Amino acid sequence: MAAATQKAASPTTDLDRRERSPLGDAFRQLLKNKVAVASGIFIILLIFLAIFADYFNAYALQGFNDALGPNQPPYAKQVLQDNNARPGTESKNPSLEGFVYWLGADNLGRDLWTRTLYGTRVSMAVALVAGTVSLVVGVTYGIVAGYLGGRADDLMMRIVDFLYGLPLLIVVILVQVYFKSLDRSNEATGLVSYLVDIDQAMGGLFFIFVILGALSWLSMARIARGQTLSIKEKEFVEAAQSIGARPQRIIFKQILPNILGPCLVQETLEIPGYILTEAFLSFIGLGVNAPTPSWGIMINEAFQGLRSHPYALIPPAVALTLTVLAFNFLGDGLRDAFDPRLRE
Amino acid sequence: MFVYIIRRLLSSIPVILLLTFVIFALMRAIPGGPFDFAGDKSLPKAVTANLERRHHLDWPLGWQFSSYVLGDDITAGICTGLAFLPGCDAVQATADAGISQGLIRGDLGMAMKQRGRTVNDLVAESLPISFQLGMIALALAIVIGIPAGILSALRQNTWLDYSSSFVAVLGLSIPNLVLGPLLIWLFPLTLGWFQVATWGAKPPFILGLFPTNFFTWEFWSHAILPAFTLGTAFSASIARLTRASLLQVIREDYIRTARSKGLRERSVMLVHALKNSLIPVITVLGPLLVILVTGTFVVEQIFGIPGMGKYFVTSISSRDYPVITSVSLIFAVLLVLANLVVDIVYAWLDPRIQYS
Repeated sequence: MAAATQKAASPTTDLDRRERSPLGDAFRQLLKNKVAVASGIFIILLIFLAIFADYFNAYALQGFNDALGPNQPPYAKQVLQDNNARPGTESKNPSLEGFVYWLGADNLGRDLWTRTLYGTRVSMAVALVAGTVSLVVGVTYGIVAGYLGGRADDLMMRIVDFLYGLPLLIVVILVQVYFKSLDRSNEATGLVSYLVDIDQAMGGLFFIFVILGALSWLSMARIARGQTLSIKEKEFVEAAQSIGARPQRIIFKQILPNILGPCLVQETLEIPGYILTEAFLSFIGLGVNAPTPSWGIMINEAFQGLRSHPYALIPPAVALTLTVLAFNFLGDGLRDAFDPRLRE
Repeated sequence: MFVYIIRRLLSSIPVILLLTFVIFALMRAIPGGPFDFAGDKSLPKAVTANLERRHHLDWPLGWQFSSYVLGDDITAGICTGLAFLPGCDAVQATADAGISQGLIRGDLGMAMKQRGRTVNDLVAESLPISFQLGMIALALAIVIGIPAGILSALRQNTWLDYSSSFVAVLGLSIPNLVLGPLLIWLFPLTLGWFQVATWGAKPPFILGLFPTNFFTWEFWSHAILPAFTLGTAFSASIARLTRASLLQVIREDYIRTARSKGLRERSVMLVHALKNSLIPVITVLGPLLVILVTGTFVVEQIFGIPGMGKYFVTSISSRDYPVITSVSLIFAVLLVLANLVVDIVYAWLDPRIQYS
């Protein structure tokens, strides 16, 4: 008996053989869904733009460029010393001659395309960080709770329930007010002042990461636990246990690959929430710091001048909506792809 | 069941108190206080000191919280009995200056920035507005969502189904932050329809919650746009859920039985299928209610509606401690109640669930 157990648990046995992984199956299924594929491509494009934003705009990010007047409509063009030009469009900087604001300029004369582009960076960073934290922390927490079961499970889930019972938006707003006041007061000492420095260097994004990371894993933990509970009772887990596989092995080889699908689906569908939370915080002035372009701030600025310059609303509004739409379509596609009932 | 409800409510009290204390402490930890400025000018030192004494800001934090929850007289009483506790001398010295009756007697405190007004007054004015907005949005979501879901399930895989599903994803995806300004630009600013900013109903409210001018254009011209903004996402998710649930139900055996009995298609659908397919829809209304409560935050901000969410955000920047703490407390209580209602509805719809 003991010998058999040892032999079975050694890494070269059949335990390692898997013909098709659940993830691979789902991916093949996903490729058949055109809308989801298009959304995926769009998201990849956004990530690409976010990383290489520096190469897709004509002048620097903060560029007031002190040439064009504020509130330029789309297709406003910079000209050098042109008597027929409308007031404010003469360029004082010869290198910007002929530069076209193809989306217009905002209330401070900043190019809306450039700001929207850099706003992509903020939103994608939020999606990436909050998404990763939520996936890693939530799935780990959920698997541990579900696998251990019993009293440990009770306790761990009670904590999640407790946090879930809080009005999270209020907590987010208040904590962010606290962080912002740290940012402004310069009174912080020690570790806190170090964090404040990081936050200021990141234009206020760091504390948003902290808040979203701290709260985003809750629903993921619930999903992962529920999935673990059902997978744990399956025959193949029992089989692995009966041949003496250790818990780590069961968790990583049996449970994790099987619950990862639903967790990924859930994650994709939750990412819009993170992006929108950041946008809302920036909208009410509690998000990223002023010159950092965030779609939320841009919507706020456009909203102030809605009566006279409504076109300023278009770029951030379209960008935000399309991004959320893409994640929702991709999430729906993934959900269908992971649903075996929908396969032929 | 009754015992269960009572137990749930009692067990949520410590959670809510803890949250309240954290917010209470957090706000006081933020630099800047409510009496730094009056308008643009700073106040004379003596006036500030008097105001702080009146609101007990000179007390240690724990005693301030005790005054907020238990009231000044009980707090002073504790200090008389247990004089060895730290900070008791400060409490005894200025307990008479305060006016707090305490949460236990239903007093949410005195607003610090709006002189002479209690938080109870502010809540009585603004909570009904948030409530009306939320309820209209919910009603709108149900009225649009359920028929749309039914229609697309009955015409599954037709252009009607595809377009309605597409519109549903679109509705789910368009953020309030985008939809709100867009509607404001389109209707009040460009077409001159509807009203923007403020709310059509004023106190007194019927039963403290419902508007007296519900059937007038004045009320609806203010309510339609924000309610539509808030309700869009919900109607989309209700439509999707109704569709999925109805599609599942019409494949059940009892529907085939009903058809084989020779019942008319209409009665099969309306009586047998629809009724059962709405159970999952009703159960998600609870979580939706919770989102609705916080959703009013965003929409009130955009449309300039003087509801609770707007008060909350403005009182943060003015450091009006009692307003912030009390509004958070009310939202926490609403959340607890909404979750409780959800669980009760679950048990009511599905007799297999037993609470003990």
